[in-house]
Amino acid sequence: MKSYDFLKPSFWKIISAIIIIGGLYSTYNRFAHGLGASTNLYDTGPWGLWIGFDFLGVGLAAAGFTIAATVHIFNIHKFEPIVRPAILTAFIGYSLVVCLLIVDLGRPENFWHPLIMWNVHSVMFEITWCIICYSTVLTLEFAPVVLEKYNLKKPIRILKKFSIGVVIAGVIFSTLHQSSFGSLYLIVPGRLHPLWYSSLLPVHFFISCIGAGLSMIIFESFLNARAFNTSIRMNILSGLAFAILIDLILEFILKLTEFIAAGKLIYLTIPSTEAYLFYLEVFIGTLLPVYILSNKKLREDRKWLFISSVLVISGFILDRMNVSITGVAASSGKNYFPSFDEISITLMLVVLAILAFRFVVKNFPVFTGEKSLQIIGRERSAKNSKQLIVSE
Amino acid sequence: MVALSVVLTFLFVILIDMLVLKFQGKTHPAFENSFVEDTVSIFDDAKIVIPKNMFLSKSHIWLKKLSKGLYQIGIDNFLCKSFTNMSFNKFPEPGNKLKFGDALFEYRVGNKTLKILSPVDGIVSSINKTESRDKIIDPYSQWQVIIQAERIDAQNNFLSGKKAAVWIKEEFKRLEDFVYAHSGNTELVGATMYDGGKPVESVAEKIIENYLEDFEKEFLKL
Repeated sequence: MKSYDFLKPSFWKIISAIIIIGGLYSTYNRFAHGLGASTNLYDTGPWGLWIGFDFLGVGLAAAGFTIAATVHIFNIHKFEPIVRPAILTAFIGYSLVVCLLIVDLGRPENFWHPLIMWNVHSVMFEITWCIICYSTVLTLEFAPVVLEKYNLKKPIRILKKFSIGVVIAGVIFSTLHQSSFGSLYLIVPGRLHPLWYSSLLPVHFFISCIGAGLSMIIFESFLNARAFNTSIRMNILSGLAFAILIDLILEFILKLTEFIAAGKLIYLTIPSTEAYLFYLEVFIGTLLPVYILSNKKLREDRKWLFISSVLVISGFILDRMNVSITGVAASSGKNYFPSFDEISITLMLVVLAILAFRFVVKNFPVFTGEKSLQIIGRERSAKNSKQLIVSE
Repeated sequence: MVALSVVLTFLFVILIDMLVLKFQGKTHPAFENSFVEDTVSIFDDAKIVIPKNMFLSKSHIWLKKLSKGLYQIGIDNFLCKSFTNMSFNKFPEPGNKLKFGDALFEYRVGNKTLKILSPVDGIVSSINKTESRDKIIDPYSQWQVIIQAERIDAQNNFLSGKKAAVWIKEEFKRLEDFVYAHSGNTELVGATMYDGGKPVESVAEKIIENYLEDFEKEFLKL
């Protein structure tokens, strides 16, 4: 009976089912009738909600390379228990981005063209190759988790031999990719609002994604504890929170310096939708979390840790959405709001990503230590044996 | 406005999830309520916070049920506050059979060892060396051992909820008395204590460390 547990109705299962059904209908509309009929995109504003979510998916996946580098290159093994969740998040984040890109392409059947038709002068070319290469790296980084489950020791040994090389490649591709999203907007200086346009946009994108990616790991740890009744590793998470604090301060100093140097402070005094959203982005995504996280007691308090992670993620969402949508709205001359199909497909993919994360966490040793307890419990009741597992 | 809509949707989903959990009689792990939250006089910031789903034993360890017969075990806030500089010395081997009162694990405090006794009969299933190496910040999150045991809530030597909170507050008071009673050496405590002053945390710790055997007898016996 246990294998049918997932069929038991619950509030979130019903909501998820409705979203997925709606999303499938919209996906049919998108591919049957084309972008023009199913979206509110237009010729002068061809990038909308889906591009914004591409930025979010990639940005929130940044913990994958950050944590992998921290543990495997800098040998800070304190964070080892969160390497797998971070890589899984990155893997799912990138899969979400790939799905959204296929939906967003005018001619999705030609998605493979950049593989053989190289245009080395295009930023899009760099982005495409970074996605391909980093997704491959993530697959290799996550493969041991799947292989462990099926006790395939030989392939694990082979992968371990190349693991450092794979991690270094991952850091390189991910760094290139995170910053190349910023570079994408360097080619539209007249279109992106000056509050967000900057020659340092690639650097901003890179620095901000590290804080957001780490916050995502904190947020996911709470989701995991909520779903599987596991404990919260406060010692690790408060360490992450300190790294987020440093990242946010660095990002703020960089932004402020750049605003002063480029003479952009004047734009902060002009009342506009852009200015209000910029203030909101900086307030909830930087200033408020910096205030919370700079207090050691609050950083070690699970409630404030959760609140600060939600704030940093919210600020990051605002930032990426502001760059991709708010910042270009005025220059496109039209007010864009996504259509039902755009919203529905996006929600469906987000729900599928959450379900995929839940499925993998439930069935594979991702949250090592915490998860192994449940596996022990299941194995014990199934086999009634005294098999012992030591979590190290 | 798209940016605002996306953020509000994100926050709205979190809010709805909180309400769903509240409707189900559960609490989000970030906002897990304690039965009692109180401060004690001996340490400046020793709050009594006991999560709902835990049992405390008189040997100052907590137990949390994972699944049928499996319990996660860690040390409670009282031990954590009493010894901020202790480190793990000895773990039980997975598979070891333990009887009520056997040494479950050992800490090193200075150059002495502190034995924590098992409040149940059972078999050690798993140990958590990774987290045990780290400093304990949140004692009720950092587990050390998983044990396979019979139902523990049916036994009398466990406390939960309000009873646990009242008991542990009493324990902190007893600890204060213990520190005073063992503070004959004024060089350690300072004369201020006799005028109603409190020993600073490091001094209280030093006294407890110096009289570790007495501490074990007084606070860790079952």
